[in-house]
Amino acid sequence: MGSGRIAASRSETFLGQAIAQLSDDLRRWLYVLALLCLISLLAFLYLTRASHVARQIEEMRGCESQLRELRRANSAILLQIAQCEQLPRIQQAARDLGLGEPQHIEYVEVVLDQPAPLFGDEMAREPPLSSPVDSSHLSGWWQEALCQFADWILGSVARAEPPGG
Amino acid sequence: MNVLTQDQFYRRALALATALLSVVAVVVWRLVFLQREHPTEVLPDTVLAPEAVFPPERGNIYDCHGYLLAAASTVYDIGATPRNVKDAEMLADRLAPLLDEPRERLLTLLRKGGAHVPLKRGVSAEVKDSILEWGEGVIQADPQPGRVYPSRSLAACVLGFVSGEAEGYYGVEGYYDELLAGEAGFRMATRDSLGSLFYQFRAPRDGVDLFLTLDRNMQYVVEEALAKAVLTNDAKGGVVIVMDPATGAILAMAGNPTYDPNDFAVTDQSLFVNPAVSDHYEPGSVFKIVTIASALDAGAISPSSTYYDNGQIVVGGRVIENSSGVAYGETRIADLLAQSLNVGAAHVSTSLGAVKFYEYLRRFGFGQPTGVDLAYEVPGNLRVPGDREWHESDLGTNSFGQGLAVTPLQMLCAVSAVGNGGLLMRPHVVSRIVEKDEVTELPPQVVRQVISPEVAGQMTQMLVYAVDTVLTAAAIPNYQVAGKSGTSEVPVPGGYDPKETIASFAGYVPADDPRFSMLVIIDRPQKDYWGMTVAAPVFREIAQQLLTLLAVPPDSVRASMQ
Repeated sequence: MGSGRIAASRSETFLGQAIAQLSDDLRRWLYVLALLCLISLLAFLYLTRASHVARQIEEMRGCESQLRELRRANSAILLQIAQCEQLPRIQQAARDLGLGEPQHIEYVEVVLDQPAPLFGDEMAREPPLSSPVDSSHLSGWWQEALCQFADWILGSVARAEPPGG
Repeated sequence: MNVLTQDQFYRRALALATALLSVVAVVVWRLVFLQREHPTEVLPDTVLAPEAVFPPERGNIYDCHGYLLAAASTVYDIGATPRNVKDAEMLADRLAPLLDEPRERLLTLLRKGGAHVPLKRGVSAEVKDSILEWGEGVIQADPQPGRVYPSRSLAACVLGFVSGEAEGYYGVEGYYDELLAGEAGFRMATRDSLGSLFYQFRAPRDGVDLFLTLDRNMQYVVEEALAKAVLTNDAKGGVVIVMDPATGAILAMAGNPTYDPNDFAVTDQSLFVNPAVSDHYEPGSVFKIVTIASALDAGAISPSSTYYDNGQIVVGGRVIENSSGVAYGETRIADLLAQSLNVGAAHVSTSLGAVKFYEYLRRFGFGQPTGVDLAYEVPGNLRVPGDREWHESDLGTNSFGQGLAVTPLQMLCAVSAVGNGGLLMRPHVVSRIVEKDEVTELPPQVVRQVISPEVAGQMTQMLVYAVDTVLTAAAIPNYQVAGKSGTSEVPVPGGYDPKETIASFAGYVPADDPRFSMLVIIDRPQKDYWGMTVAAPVFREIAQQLLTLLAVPPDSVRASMQ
């Protein structure tokens, strides 16, 4: 620690001596040069900042214009979709395909792809303890038979509404 | 070789440094000057103007399924620089078909001289692009926010329109203008306390998107049927409103005649008014639903009550007669409603008493706006005891819907309250507000319990009886329909027009669990005059199609499913 202090004081002494040795004119010249460097540095920084801002503005302008274009294109697509979805157009297309107004509507019961509650609702709500055969693998006729059996056990449910009724 | 002395070297170096310093100082001073005094000279003005306003994009409007009903778009105001035009005739020839403007008008404008003349506003992007392909330097296109209604006149009375100044008028556009419009952004050049220039910037906040309760398929069905009915009956116009009685959501609302909001600038302004909320009418016998329901709820009568109909009754010195002029003798309340007897209605209202009767009318929402989210709703006109204009005879005439004015929406809300178990719901057309990723659901609002569920049930039975026995034109096979027709006179100065009527029918289907309630009004039909024969068939036609659209099974199927 002591040797470090000695080294520093030695270098300060040397610099002081060197400056003292310079003439007054040279010293003035150095000051002017330092000032010049400082001003140049400031001007450089200013110009760098200005050009950076200008570049950012240019980028921003590009983004704004891109955003405008994208929005315009998006609106155009939305409108195009809306035009295609217009009801008179769909109606006309349906007529061209030979479709017409329904004369009567028949409501039928839809049998869902799941086992019918054979032994009442309470049983049906409980999950099975084990399921050796996946019900979805049962063939259609077997499911239909189960459903009919369930209907017979639980009482009949309207399975189809007759035409007009 | 001439050797410089140290003194000479220092002097020359100093001079050179001073010169360089001066140059740098001048450059820096100039830069600072330009930045402070003329900021736009530093940057090309095409890059960034010191101040700018960024218009927001107006929100879109969708129906309940997400089908687009109104969309924001960009349109262009086309202008020209006449002093740059070399051949005005040729330019007018090319512009006229594209702008759809008379050639002579364009030629006059182009020959005017000067820096700028506006040629046409609101031109589409496609037209603008095709003009600018060859018109660069002479033609200018200024982008402006526009509005497009892709379904044209569909739901025009609900939607309203947006003016050239981007302001919403009428309907949803008018009511939600502030939300739909959003907020403009801006860029502004300002200086801080040290005088340095900086930009303040705020991005525009786009308008919200609205999802309506309206179903465009139902709307289409309703508009088609209404237009057909108006044409068939040679009527002046008509109104149909369809509502979900359980929530107050308006599923369809149509007025006829209607207009295309894309062409609002060339439309007769009287068509902008939504007759369902901004016009009122005398409801006629449909109003008996309210009279009977009020008396039942107040206990003034019961479903099994009878009265003696001798063909006329005097209320406040005024003689009231049945429209048929017939005396019905001992009559049940259900038959009063089915036969639409004015004498019976007046008997019921006088039994109830003026104070109770008008209290119930207020409870049903008459004489005050319903609060629907549509612009320019009117409260109707209801005179009550204590008002200078009220007369004792009003108690009699009001009971069958004469001498008071209600809006079609008020009338339907009251009928819906009977259909849903006695709850008056606030009608609404917007179900969801979407702002970027934030979704705000607007839940149904109960205004009040007007009548008890028991009374509502009794009323439904009587209205089903009316349709099954008398108003069979509104009956739908396999569905129970609850409804009531009305035929009202048209008030003119000094009395009523003897030749004109307003035919109406209000009801709900299926009666036991209504999926929708509907009011049909045909204004001044010329071929027939009665609500029963003019409006009831329209009700049936629309209701049948709506039941299919909503996939409502017949009553028997629904009963077996329960």
